[in-house]
Amino acid sequence: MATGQTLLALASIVLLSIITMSIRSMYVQSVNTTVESQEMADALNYGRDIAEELQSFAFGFENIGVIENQMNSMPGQYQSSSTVLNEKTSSANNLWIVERQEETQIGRQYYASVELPTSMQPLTSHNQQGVIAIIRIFEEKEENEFEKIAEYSTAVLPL
Amino acid sequence: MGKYALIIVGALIFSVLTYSYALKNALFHSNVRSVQSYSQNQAHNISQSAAMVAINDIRNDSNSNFHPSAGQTYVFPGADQFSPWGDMHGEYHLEVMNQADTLLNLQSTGKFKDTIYRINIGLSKGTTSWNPIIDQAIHAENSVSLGGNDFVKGDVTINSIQSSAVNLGSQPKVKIDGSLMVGPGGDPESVVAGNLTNVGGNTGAMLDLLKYTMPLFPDYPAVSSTGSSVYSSTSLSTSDYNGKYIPEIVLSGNSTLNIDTGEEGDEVVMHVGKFDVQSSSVNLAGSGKLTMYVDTHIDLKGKGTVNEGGDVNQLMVYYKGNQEVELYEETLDFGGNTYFNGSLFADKANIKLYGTAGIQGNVITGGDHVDLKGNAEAISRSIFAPNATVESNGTVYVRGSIISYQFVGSGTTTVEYDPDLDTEWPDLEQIGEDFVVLYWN
Repeated sequence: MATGQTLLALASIVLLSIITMSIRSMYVQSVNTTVESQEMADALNYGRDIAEELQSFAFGFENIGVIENQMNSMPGQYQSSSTVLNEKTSSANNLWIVERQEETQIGRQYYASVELPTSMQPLTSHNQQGVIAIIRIFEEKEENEFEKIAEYSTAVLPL
Repeated sequence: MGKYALIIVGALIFSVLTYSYALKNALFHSNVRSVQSYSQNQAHNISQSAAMVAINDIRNDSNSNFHPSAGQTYVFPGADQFSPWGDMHGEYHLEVMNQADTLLNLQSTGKFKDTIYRINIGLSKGTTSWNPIIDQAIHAENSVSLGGNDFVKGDVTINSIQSSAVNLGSQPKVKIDGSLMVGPGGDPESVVAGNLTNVGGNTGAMLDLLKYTMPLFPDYPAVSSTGSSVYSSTSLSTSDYNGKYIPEIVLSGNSTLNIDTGEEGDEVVMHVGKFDVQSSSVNLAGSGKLTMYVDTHIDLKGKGTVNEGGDVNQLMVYYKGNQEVELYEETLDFGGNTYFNGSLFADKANIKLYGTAGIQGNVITGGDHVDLKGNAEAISRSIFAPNATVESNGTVYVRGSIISYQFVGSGTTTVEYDPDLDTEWPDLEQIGEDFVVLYWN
């Protein structure tokens, strides 16, 4: 076999190796992307569930104490808290940790917090009394190390 | 051989590049979908929240813009426009259509970034007769405060269960000779600041909240023609004013206006732009009932009297108020030595009764303040002001009931519930209790 052909064969083998590695890398990346995408979707749905639950508190809502009572009357669901995981926030507000951690199919744990004002406020230019709840979704990356994934806000007014 | 190898490797590289491009495309779309999903959720939250705001506005404000006339549509803030909502990090748009005066179709649109989410809500719309059941001397939604020499002859109710919502002071004497009932679930010992021995009757919690709803302010009837204004003593027959628009009735200097109201069973209507009675008298002659619709000005001062000595149920006055002073409070003053014998319904004006002013009849107001001062006297089936702070200061006497958001008594106020008062409720409507959500999707 001529030297040129040998070099071409070697170059082909090198290229083939690179291609094989690239395919493998892309496959891993593809799986990783799919998993991350699913995680994000789970986290966003978790936040939406909590937002809809808070919106359901609008029925029978007369003052902020009624929402607190509803939260307290759901054992294991909400717990009053002074800190929102490791997220700094206004200490004047009324903080709750959602105790239902969402475990995804791949075993990730999500945590959520709900921040409420201490009293009802006039909302929008129509000045209707209600509260704005801020919902934050976290993932525990390391022990007691939380990373915020999403933040929603929703208003709750008496219905 | 080498040539074939190169072709094969080239084909493989092409395949890998294609795969890589497809993968990157999929990754990009995956991220876009996540962002879209987040945006859609937040747009959904905004639309739900804006809908709740609109529903509250409809229910709480009898003049809500979100409650258009039959067949009309109200759009906020304007066609194809969105109003920013900073706390929600987005914008909203609301449209309400009144379908045949039986259904309000509310469309709420939330917008976050470029994502829009729309929901449709149906609210049944109906009206029922306004006929509040009042059997207490004082009712307050939020708080009741009684000073040292105040005395309530009758029951007191309060919807609040907040601590110290009822303040009876520290004097060891009975200030409420009837019962005191607080909101459902409340503990009177906690709700009352002071001593429960200030209450002569029972104390306890009500089984349900008491709802006192403002009646709908009536639409003024159409006028057939314009009559003459009145500036001096005169007499008006029913043909002079019934169904007509009288621009002004302005009396001063001991003038007397006699208004013929026809025979018993007659119901006559006068539409007046300005009604100003200073040290003069307006008398009702005849046995019919007069309903007076006043546009922008009511003033009763000096020794002004209206229907003194007549039947309280013969006169009903509606006061729309000056729409041009929407941004500041308007107050109807009844001062000096005046006397008004009839019922009054002010759409949004505050009411002030002072000096030795007297009023006999129902007083209904959507305003936020009612002041009773000096030696004012009100003999009223009800001072019905569920949105107002009713403040009483001086030697004030009220026979009847007070319905308020909060009641603040000081000086020597006496409120005496009288079940035998024969003042009739005006024939009014309220937004029906069946104003409920029919669908939400």
